[in-house]
Amino acid sequence: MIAAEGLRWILTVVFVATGAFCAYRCTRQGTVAERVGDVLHVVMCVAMVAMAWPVGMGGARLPQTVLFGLAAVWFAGVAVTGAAHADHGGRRAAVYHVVMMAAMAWMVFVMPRAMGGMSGGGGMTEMPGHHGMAMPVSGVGGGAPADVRVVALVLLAAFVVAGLVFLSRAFDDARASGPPLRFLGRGADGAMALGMGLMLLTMA
Amino acid sequence: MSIDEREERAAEPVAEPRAGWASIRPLLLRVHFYAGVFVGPFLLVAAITGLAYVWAPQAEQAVYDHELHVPAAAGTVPLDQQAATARALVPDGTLTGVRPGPTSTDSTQVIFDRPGLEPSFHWTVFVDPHTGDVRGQLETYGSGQAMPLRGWIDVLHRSLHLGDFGRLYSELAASWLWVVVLAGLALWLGRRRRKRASAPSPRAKLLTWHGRTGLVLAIGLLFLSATGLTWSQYAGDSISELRTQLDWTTPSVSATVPVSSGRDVGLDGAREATLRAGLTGPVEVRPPAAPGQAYVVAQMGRSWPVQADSMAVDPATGTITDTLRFADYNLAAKLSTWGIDAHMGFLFGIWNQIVLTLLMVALIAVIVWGYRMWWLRRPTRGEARFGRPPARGAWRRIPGRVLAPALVVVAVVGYYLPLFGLSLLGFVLVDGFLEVRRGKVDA
Repeated sequence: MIAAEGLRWILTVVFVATGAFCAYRCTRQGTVAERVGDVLHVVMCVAMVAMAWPVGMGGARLPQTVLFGLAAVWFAGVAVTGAAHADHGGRRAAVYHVVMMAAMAWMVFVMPRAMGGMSGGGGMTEMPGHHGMAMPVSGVGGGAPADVRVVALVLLAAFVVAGLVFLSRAFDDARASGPPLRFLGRGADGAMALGMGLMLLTMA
Repeated sequence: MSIDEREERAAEPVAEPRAGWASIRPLLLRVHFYAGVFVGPFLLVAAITGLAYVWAPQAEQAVYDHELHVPAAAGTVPLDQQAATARALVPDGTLTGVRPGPTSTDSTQVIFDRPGLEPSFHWTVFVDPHTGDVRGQLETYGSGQAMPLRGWIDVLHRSLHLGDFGRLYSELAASWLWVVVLAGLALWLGRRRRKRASAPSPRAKLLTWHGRTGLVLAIGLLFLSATGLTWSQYAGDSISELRTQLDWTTPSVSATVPVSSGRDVGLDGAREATLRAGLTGPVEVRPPAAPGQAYVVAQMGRSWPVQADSMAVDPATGTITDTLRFADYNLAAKLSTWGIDAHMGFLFGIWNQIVLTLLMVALIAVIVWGYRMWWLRRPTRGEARFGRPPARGAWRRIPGRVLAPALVVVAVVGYYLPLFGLSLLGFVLVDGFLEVRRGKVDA
């Protein structure tokens, strides 16, 4: 769950937009494997939006973990068989999606532990010598468990790099006047990767 | 806000990205131009009101001489008696602090919170410490106990007396100032690699002045932008939140003591206990806010070396229950205190005021030169009345590997500085709309 309301809305907008794009692309083009991939992306976006809001924290964990675990297996199959075309990123993107879906499964699984360590509040105190300039005093909770934080940090770094690579290619494709669905697809992958990174940042 | 003809031609959109400085320069030029034109008026207002604020302490010493100063004399009336005299004059007020005069010619300031006062404003009664006579009563502002004149200028500088809405102007100025400065700096340093073959035009001379002065000012303006943002409404909240997350908050002395009834050492007892413990210089003695709370005596020295130690004194026993030394602050808290005091012109006394004055005057000049250059670029024929801005599409020339990380950095900064982010987003949307509309017209 994201505590900062602004950030929560930003993530919601990002995942609603990327989910909508994947749903649109699913109806417009692609092989069966690619359309299944798009559907899995839509499911992931819905789960991410739910994860960002307090109301979404009540969802059953195990089915989601199993679902995203199976999605990772699906993308592994796509990577092995080479069933994705260039517009969907090809084999390398399929490998990346294995990591992404596995990360989703992990996030859903550890979220209660991660959130449990984030309770605690801060107060406000006036800066000595500077009335009217309230500064929060420290009072943050102990944070997520160490193992969760380490994994979250490693995944965070991976998703930020992946997000930058996807966005970079999206810009270059857009400039080269490539097929709109291709550069928009890469842009959506980049936005999703950075969105995942943001969510992981809250756990790190 | 400075563009020369070669740069303008170079800014025409092309499909192929170029590597390095050549690809980034047109975008920086566009950012510097539009951001400069956009925040120039806000920066001008901030510079002029800031200039007035810098010298307000001297002005208030003269204007409020009767309240602030007393004839030197022997003997001192106890602080509790002075506070009681003042309290009788402000029956609806809550005593929040007493500041004994630091020298024998300064009055004691007895500070009250009073219903109806705006946040950070106080009601202060000025008492002659030698006779116990009241010298006057005034509404004061902030921790610096600004008199009404300085308080008025302070609020003008901060919000133009328009409340929270007015604070947007100073936040916009602070949010964009560092962008304008950094972009200008990059443009100027990049430009210096070239050599002009012909004699410089009047506009080129102006550009040289604009650039060289901006180069000298850069560090000072970045400092003012950073410290100004800590006061701002929205970015200030982000900075506070970030400091909390990083455990960089300013510590405060613990004022909790065991509840006891009966004896109270009073303001004088608390002051004497801390004096014996070495808490010298200008101080404020704050009475306990409730049972179970201590007297807090805090140093109010704002010039270098900063004296901001504070101690808590048990009202029942007069013993010091907690001490917080400025030396023990974390680095971020120290930097924050130093930064605020330097921004306000207090940290290094008169030299601080002189440097800020020079900075403000030079900033005003740089802004005026910027607008003047824009004016000189205007076409002398045809219907156009302003100089042509840098062409759209500069971002298209930047390779994705540069643009993508830059975009992410801008998004992160835009999140933490919401007015910067929202105004930039607004500009991009309007600019994109105009480009699409122009494309349709051309088609």
